[in-house]
Amino acid sequence: MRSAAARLRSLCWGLLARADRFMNRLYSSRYNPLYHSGAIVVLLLIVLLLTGLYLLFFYRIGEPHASVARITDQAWLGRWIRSLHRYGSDAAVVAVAIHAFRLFAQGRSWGPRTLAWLSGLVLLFVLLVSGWTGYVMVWDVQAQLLAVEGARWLDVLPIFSEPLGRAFVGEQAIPAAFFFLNLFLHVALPVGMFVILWIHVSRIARPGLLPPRGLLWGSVALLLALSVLWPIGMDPSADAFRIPERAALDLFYAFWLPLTRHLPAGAVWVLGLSLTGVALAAPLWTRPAAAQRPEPSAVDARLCTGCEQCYLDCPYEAIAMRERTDGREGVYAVVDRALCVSCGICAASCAPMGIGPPGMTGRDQLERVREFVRLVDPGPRDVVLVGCARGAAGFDALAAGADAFSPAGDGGGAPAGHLPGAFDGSRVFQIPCAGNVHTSVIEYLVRAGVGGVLIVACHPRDCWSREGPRWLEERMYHDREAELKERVDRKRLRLVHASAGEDRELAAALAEFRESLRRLGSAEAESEIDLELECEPAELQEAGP
Amino acid sequence: MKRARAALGVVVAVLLTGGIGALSQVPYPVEAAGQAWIRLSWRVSAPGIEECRALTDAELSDLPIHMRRDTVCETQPTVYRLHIALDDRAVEETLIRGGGTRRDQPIHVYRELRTRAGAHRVAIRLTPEPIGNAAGGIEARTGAPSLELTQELELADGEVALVTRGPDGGLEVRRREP
Ligand code: HEM
Ligand code: SF4
Ligand code: SF4
Repeated sequence: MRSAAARLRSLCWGLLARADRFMNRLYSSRYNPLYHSGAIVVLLLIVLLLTGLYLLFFYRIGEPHASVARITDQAWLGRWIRSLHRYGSDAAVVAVAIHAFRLFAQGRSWGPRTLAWLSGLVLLFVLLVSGWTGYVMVWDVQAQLLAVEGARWLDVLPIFSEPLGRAFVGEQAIPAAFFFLNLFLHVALPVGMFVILWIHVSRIARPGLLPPRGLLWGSVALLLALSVLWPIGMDPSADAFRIPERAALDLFYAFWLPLTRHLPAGAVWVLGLSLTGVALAAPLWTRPAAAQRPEPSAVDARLCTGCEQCYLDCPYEAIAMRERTDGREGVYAVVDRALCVSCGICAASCAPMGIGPPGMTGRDQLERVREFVRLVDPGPRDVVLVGCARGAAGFDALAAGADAFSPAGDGGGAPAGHLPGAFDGSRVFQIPCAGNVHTSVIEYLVRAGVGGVLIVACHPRDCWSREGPRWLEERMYHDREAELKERVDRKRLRLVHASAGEDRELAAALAEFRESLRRLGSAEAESEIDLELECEPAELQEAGP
Repeated sequence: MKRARAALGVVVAVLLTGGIGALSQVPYPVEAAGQAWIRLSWRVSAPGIEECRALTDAELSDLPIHMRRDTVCETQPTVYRLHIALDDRAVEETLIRGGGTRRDQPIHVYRELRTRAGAHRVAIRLTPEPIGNAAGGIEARTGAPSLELTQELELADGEVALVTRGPDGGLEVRRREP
């Protein structure tokens, strides 16, 4: 079961990486809509709220179809606002599907992310039900089909004293209470979505709730253009005394209708509940086997100076600062194991290297890089790649599903003692996330006389740990703690963004870097590299706080 | 090269947006032409009949003293028999019980007969089943009605005719005024 899930995930990741690469080439990584799917949904929800307010003003529960027809007849405003409301909700379904697919493909669906996964499913459910009620509001042929189908499902449950379906056969006029309840749901559910969204991102620091401006206005402009050029028309009114022959179906919300109409209601329930169960259980069946699950981060309180940098950098708000109790002044960092996703970003925040998941702390990395240099013995004209295992330098990462990274080897992602893998002739020092690489590792490589160090991070918005590439860049070039020291020759360094599947882009960047190094001449190695660790445990009192 | 990529970017964006427009209103053939349906939808009450009888001496002696009574009464729920024939062919013959745990809640008839457009003869009967020794007719004793309708119908293509209870409580056919 688990290996089947891992294979499925790998397959999805391969697809996603190809789609990402295509979009990056077209729109650049900054404006790649696939990277911003969650934020695009939030944007669309806001568009829906605004256009919905306008429609609400003209909608009448006493004459649903006629009032929507009147809105559609307003050639200057109503028609395109209604169309924008409709196309916006359609685009929202697409964006949610991409967002969920992306997180599934990247294996971000278990452990501390379970709350986000489950609340995301609730959001999706509420979105689909809101769409359903929206279509019923129009009370055209599609609305009738949806209402009758919904009633058919509910009527097999032993909860109503009277079959709901009878309300739609024309025996009596449909009670106004029905349209009132429907309208109420259509307003209340989307408002509720904002509350669920708050829960959805509650475990995330600095959630990206809106796409970058260009993408934001671009998306709105495209949907607006579609609304003006291809406005939604009116289907005939629902009619209990006519067999519906043809309906203009919205496949984003009613994709299931052509299938379920021909199934017994009981079978629809079994099918729907099974699919829901599988999706809800994803945090269980997508998580790696216990032995492969990375350990959460831990703090060596003796080393912690209480600088708060890890607390500021953690993308999952898993770190809190507490008063010390060991006689020393100030605060120290504490990791909440239930919130930590083991990204290792905090390890690179910490100048004294006192925090990080086991095997991923700055000290562990230094040990590995020393071993790496001993094994590889890079020459003064060689380039070493320091690359995220999930990005382009994570060779075979796509095939291995990226869960395979183990920091226990020599740093190349290879078993201890084996030569690490190479990309286009350059050895690769692999790390689980670009945000995990401690700047001391980069400094060590440069001072060891390596010709050049090419650091390969995923595109900032593609980071599986959310903020790795962003913090790395700030540490390298903008003095963010733990910053890359000034003494490190920046000419022998380069940071490139290349996600999984972007091998060609990485190869081009590598060739260009090699060329610039060639002009620079050979690097010089220092005989003794003293990396001034800010403090050593031995100098401190033995007892923790 | 850059310009070609930008142009491709615009084309892809337009195609994707157009795709949303297209999938948002897909013409879906719901039902084939040439059909006509007859829908049955109504409700009738299903009051039970209380049947009382004297206990025999043997039954009395089996009961503890404080529970001995001359007569016992039991409520028998009404059960209806629904018979539907279309064009002189029986399409349904079922027993329908009332709702609720005591089976004394109203029953609902909600059916759809799918047929071709054209001339049809529909015969529907909903009659309460005799209960126990209900002498004097079950209708008289409980108020449970017997409903019956036999009618010739000329149904147009795509028409739905509704059989339901009229203002007098009897079955009638309702159709959209042409
Ligand atoms: C209306 C629907 C949804 C909206 C508006 C939405 C929005 C968001 C946003 C804005 C983020 C933060 C992204 C970031 O800054 O990194 C996020 C994260 C997340 N979403 Fe959604 N989402 C929705 C539906 C879903 C669905 C259906 C799923 C999966 C079933 C899902 C799973 C997740 C997960 C697991 C995260 C956390 C990612 C991480 O921690 O690495 N979301 N969502
Ligand atoms: S970054 Fe290091 S020193 Fe600073 S608070 Fe975190 S653990 Fe302590
Ligand atoms: S490993 Fe990542 S999630 Fe865990 S405490 Fe460190 S920065 Fe936060």
